[in-house]
This record gives sequence, structure tokens and C-alpha cells, in this order.
Amino acid sequence: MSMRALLLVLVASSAFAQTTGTTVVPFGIRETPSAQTDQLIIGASSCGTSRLVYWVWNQLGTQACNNMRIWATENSCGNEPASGDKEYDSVSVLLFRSVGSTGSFTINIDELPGFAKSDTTTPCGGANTLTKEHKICASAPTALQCGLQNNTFTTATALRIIYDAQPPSAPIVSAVSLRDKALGLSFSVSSDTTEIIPFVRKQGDTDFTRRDNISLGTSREVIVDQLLNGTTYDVKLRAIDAAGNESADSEIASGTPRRTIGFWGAYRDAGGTDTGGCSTSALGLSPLLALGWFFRRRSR
Amino acid sequence: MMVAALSLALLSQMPGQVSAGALAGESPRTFTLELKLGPYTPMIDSAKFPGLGPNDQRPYARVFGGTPMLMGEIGLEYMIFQKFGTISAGVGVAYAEKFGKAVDAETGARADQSTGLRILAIRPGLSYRFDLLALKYKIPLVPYVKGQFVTMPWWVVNGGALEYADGLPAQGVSFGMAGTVGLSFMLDILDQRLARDFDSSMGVNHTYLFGEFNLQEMFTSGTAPLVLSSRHWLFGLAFDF
Repeated sequence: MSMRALLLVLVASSAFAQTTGTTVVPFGIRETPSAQTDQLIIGASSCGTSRLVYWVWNQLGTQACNNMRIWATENSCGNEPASGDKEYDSVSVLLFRSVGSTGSFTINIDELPGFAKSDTTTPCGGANTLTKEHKICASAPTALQCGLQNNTFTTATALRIIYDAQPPSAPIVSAVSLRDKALGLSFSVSSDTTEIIPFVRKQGDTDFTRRDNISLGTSREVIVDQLLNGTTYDVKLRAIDAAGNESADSEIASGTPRRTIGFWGAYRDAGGTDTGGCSTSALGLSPLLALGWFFRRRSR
Repeated sequence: MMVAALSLALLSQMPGQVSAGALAGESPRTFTLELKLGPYTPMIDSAKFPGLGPNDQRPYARVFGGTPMLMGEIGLEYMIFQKFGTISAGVGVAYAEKFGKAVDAETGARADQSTGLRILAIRPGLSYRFDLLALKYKIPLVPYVKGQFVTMPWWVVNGGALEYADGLPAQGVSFGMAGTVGLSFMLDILDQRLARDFDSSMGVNHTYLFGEFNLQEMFTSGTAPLVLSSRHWLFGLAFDF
């Protein structure tokens, strides 16, 4: 195979890798200008707060002829705001005439139409509202050449703001494995769980210590480490969903970490004399010396 | 990927590239890529352990049951002589791991915790393939020999973390040498037209199925060293390109 062919393969493979990366949104509302998802999941803690969101304009082949209108709705977007929708300040056409334009605006969560109409004095429509979806929509009159053709509406890909105040189910701890200075907890959780929080205390103590949140992957076991061997601990788990809602705590499980011996310990206990590190044998350096000799000869 | 590309680019600039071994109508042969897999049992239990009686179970057998590790290796060789057989210089990088259950320090019973031995082997060296009969007379068998230096970083984990015993971390590097005897079967013979297409479209001159016996001797010191020497078989596919 020639070097040129080899380099072509390498360049093509790296180009392929790049094409599998980000997708450009022609016209959309996003949480950040480069965000790929059209969802923003918020929880009860977001009530009463405001969020900065962005419009992005990468529309090719058409001209924007007038200002962009932006609004929030509980229904489908359409071309223009409907009655009951919350409209935000329009964006001057001068700000999004070129591809790659972006800008931001602020939305107050409590002013979203689904919350505002139910109860304006209680954040997010009160404690009875557990889930609700809003869309942040935008549209602009466009034409191939403004003034020469009739305008048509170009609508943005909406940002879906999903309010979720429903906490996930409490985790169920199915088994506790005894490890060296650690306990392993096997558990099951509801499908909306995204993180797990372990809590631990020495048996007999009153207060639990909260450990760092652990992102939920495919594994359904968490290791609670930095414990003392021979001491019995109580442990429990709490689940968190994408909106930040925390579940009730699991039932308390208990276990006593035990000192274990791995392969290295078994080898040393048997009288193994290797202490790790680099081989101290002088012959061990021979590969490096041989490589040095080889490359020195090649460079002559 | 970039390291491999740079290595190939550098090697292509070296003097002495010979393509006399290429047959008429065949693209030049420059490299051999090998992908191989096989069982690897380090001879750890062959050491004389002062803490064990003659009937006591040795450490590797005790923790891993004495069964072999699975070793995978990728090797790349640059052909430096192609007149009477092929002499190549190259490097192979292999990885092997084995997991077993740790034991409870008090009771000696198997614990719920896993312990694992992980080994990386870096093997620069030279090889000679007697491929004259395969290339000129279509006899599809290619015997070969290799001589390699071996550098083996190794480490042991217990419960996902590096294990310590007697205050010593379970990690180190061993050095040694290896000799290999192997036999390749040239797959081109099974479908010569497909083989020619593979060359004209992808630049792969020949494809081989091979088996090889490796004798690896690591340099050790002390009365009961961690012996990573082995006698093992590897099987795989090789591509000349």
C-alpha cells in the first residue's frame, strides 16, 4: 500500500469522525447556542427563577424580511402567538440577517402560560402541578428576496421546557456485599433515575453522612468506600431524576467491611519477594540499550 | 491512530525499503499487520515460595484457579529485506488480564470482592518469514521465527483499586526476551481473484491465518520473584500491505 493511499484512509477516517459530531440547527430556540437537545427539564427548585435561553439562526437560502417574534405556549407553536401565549420582546431583523447569528433572552418560569393562568401567586401553579410541558417558539417572515416575493413564515425548532416535580421512586437495596474497607450495595431504581446518593453512618450513630452523587450508568451496584474494617455501618440510598427531584430514602441496610486479600496479598503472604517497581536485573535494561543502538545506526 | 500514522510516515522515510518481493502486477509490500489472541499463563507459581508447604496452593492457582489469562496482541512490522524470504523489524503490543475472587483475611473464604492481574507486553524485535515458496510457487505455508525484547508493565487491583500489601503497591515492570516459532497459511490460495482484488482496491497483498508458539523468558531476581515468563500459543490473522 502506498503512503498516499494510507494517508487518504487516515484523513477520510478523521473526517468521518468529525461528521458524526454536532448538528447545526437552521433556526431554533436552545438552552445554549450549541446545545443539541431541544429539551430543558426543570424541577420544583426552578419555580420562581428565571432562565437565559438562546435563539440561533443558521438559515440558508432565505432572507429574513422582518423582526423575529418569540413566545411561550402550552400548545403547538404555529406561525404566530395565539391568545393566552406569553410573548417576549421581538428581535430586530438587523440582528439575524447573517448565518451564525445568535442572541439570548430571559424567561421567568412562573410567567410561562400554564403556570401563570392557574395561580399567579404560587410558584409553578402550586404544589398540585407535578408535570407540565411548555414550548418556546419563534418565527420570522422570510423570502428568497425580500420585497420581490411574498413573505412566508419560517418557524424555529421549539425549545421544550418540561417541568417535572414528580420525584422518582425510592431505591430498593437488594443486597449488601462485604468488601475491604467498603460495602457494595446492589439496588434497583425507577427508570427516570439519573443519579444515586449514598448515605452512611456507623451503627448506633444518629446522623447519616451524605456522600457524593453517583451518575447512574448501566451498573446497579454502588460502592461505599473509606470505611473501617470490622465496624458495622448503616447505609441507605436516595434517587435523583433529571429535574433534580429527590426520592424518599431506601430502607436502611447494614454491613461490616472485612479485610480481603487480593492476588498481590496472596503472593506476598506466600513469601513472594517481588516488591514491584522496575526490574532491578541489569539484563532488564538490555532492550532499551538494543533499541538505542539500532536507532543510532539508522541515523548514521 | 495518529501515533500509528506518524510511525508509518517515519518508517516510510527510512532508507533500505525493498519491494523486490512483490510479484508482477502486485502492489509493493512494506508492512505486516498482525492481530492475535491466545491463552497466556504466567509461570508465577513456578517460584519457590518460602511461606508455602509442598501441598499448599500457589498464589496464582489459589486466586485465579490456575486457568490462563486471555491475551490479545496487535503487531506491526516493517519489511527491511525481501530477497530470500522476508526480514522485518517491528513491535507488538499485547494486553492480558485475569480476575478472581479475593479471600477474606480472617476466614480464608472467598469474598464478594474481585481481584485482578493486568499485564501489558511491549515486544520490539526482528522476524524472518520464509515466504519464497508461497510467493513464487504458490505453496501456501510460510514458516517464520521471531526474536523479541519484552517489556511488561503489570499491576494488580483489588476491588477496583490498586492493591497494597506490606505497604507495597502492586505495580511494576519486568523485562525479558522472547522467541517465537510460527506457521502461516496464506489464505490467498483459497480465492486468488478475491486476493488480487483486495490488493488492487485496498493495497493488501496477502492475508494469512497463523499459529505460533512463544517462549518468553523474563529476567528475575530474588528467591521468589513474580515470574511472568511463559510458554504460550497465539493464533490470528496477518496482512501484508
